[in-house]
Amino acid sequence: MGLTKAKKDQSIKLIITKPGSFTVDANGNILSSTLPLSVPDKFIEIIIHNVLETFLTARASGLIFEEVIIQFIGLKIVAREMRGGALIHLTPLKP
Amino acid sequence: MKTSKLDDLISQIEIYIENWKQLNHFINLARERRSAQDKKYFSPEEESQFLDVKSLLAQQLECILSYFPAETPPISREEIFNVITPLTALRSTIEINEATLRGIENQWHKIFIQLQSILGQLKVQRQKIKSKSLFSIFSKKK
Repeated sequence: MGLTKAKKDQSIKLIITKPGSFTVDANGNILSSTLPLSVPDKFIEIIIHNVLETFLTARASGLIFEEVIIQFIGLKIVAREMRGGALIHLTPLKP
Repeated sequence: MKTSKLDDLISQIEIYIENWKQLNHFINLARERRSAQDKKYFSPEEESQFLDVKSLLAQQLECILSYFPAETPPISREEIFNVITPLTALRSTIEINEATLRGIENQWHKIFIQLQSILGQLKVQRQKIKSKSLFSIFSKKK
């Protein structure tokens, strides 16, 4: 799963230095964002893909996830489900 | 408006409504903490999420309004800002007196209903376009 791929990404803590959030629709399109433009699109794409897939898989298994929290060593991701899309908060963590 | 554009707008407003609900979640959180005996304060993470929710609401509003003629916006920018602006931070929301907070909540609810109404109108519009295109397919077959 892409989640493991993201976990292995050592550059995560270097990319996010300040907290930020964004909203995505069910197709993974970003609707609004407070993240700086310096954050690479690919990094955001991995997060979107994993978050939406998690909500989708949960729903397919008959579970309703309202919120998903993924915590890495240097970064915390809080995602809230929004009609197939999501509100995603990224918070850098101090080691 | 084309169906695809209409679908995009509907999706944007649906997400906006969900985000708007998040704002209410934070207002309720502030009220809960205020009435709690031990008066728990807010973590920097909660403050940051609150600030981001407000920022996203302001940004996304502009995207939604760009779909409509500037002279006739379906919702007033000012009315939305009247809800967002007084809520500077969670720690200060705790200090807002109950009457003012209720006023903000009433305004929040008014906008919430307005957004639902706009969403309803757009869905009707989409339905009309869909039934029109279905009608044209069948009339062509004849």
